[in-house]
Amino acid sequence: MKKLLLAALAASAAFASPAVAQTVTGTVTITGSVANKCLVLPGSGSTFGTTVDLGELAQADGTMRTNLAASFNAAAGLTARVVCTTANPTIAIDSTALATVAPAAAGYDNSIDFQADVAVTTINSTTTYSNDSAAVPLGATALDGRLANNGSSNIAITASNFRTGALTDLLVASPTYTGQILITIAPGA
Amino acid sequence: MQRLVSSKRVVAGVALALAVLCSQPASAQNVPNTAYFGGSPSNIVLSIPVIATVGGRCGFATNGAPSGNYAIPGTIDTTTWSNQFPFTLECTGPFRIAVVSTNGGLQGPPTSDPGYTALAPYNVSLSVVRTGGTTTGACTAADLLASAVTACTMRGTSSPTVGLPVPNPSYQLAGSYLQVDAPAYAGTATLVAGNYADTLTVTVSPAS
Repeated sequence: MKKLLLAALAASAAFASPAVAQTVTGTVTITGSVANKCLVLPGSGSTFGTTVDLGELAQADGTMRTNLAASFNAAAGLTARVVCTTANPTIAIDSTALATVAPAAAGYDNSIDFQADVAVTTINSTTTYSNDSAAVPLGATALDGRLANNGSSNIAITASNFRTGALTDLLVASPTYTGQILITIAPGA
Repeated sequence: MQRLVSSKRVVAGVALALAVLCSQPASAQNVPNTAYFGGSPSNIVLSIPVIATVGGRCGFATNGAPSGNYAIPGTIDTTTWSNQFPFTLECTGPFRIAVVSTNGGLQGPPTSDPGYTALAPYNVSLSVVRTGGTTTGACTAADLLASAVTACTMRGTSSPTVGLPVPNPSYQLAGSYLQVDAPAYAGTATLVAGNYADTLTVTVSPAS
């Protein structure tokens, strides 16, 4: 009788056993990349900037207007938002004097030098990089970290120290004095 | 006679034990448990229900598991991309299929710099061809991270109770696939430069 009961228990245990769980696995891998680059936000442009029209450059006496810096810095469009995918982007600045092709005799001038100042905000600081139009361009210089990416502008351009060769120089008449501040922000190494 | 009664009682006792152990209804209580030679009742009917189940077998067909590497063409911040990893199942009953993402997205060089990220999101979907139709599921890779808490039926390592339930067998049926895709990255945080990768692990198991 004991044997029969044991057999009955064994049979019932077999009936109640769950299916043996088995798990089978497959594995896939996805790879991609992001290139070293800088871009202008919003969007993903590659240029930023504006044209500043300073208007009449001379005072009534023919010498250079002394408030050109104030006029320049009041212009719109002198800020930008730039980001780079790299950790240490670089900045280079090349300023070109406001000048005209009209010839200038002694006591006259046909160019106005100035200093360009570019304030760059990174995640670590805001630092101003400068280049005078009379000096050699500022070569690629490493920033101190990633460009700030907080929704606000991180590039601000100003200019100062507008000047002629001599304070008494008269600006020659010309409808086309042109200059430029060329700022290059690159991914860096 | 006494011996016969005794052995019949033994048999009846075993029958009752089986009935109880098999969790059958208590209707057996009304069945006479003693038969008498030349008497009444002269026999008893032993009803021994026998139940059994065949556990579902579930796996991938030979060389049918999702596998391989997909290298996204171009760069992930400028490219819309998509790929399907086909697979073939050999599941003989209802089953579950689940997916885990190792990184919860495409992981690049780690960064903690504010405004930047090294995790690119993408989408994962399953399309399982089964008897009688197709079962589908979709989640983001972030939802498939093992530690994620968002709702995503197909997250995890499959078990009888975990994973996307597929109600019918899928035995060597073509057309099932795991799809991964993403539009060109458009998040507010900028993706940092570098190589990105993620691994998806797909598991199947019989359902409970």
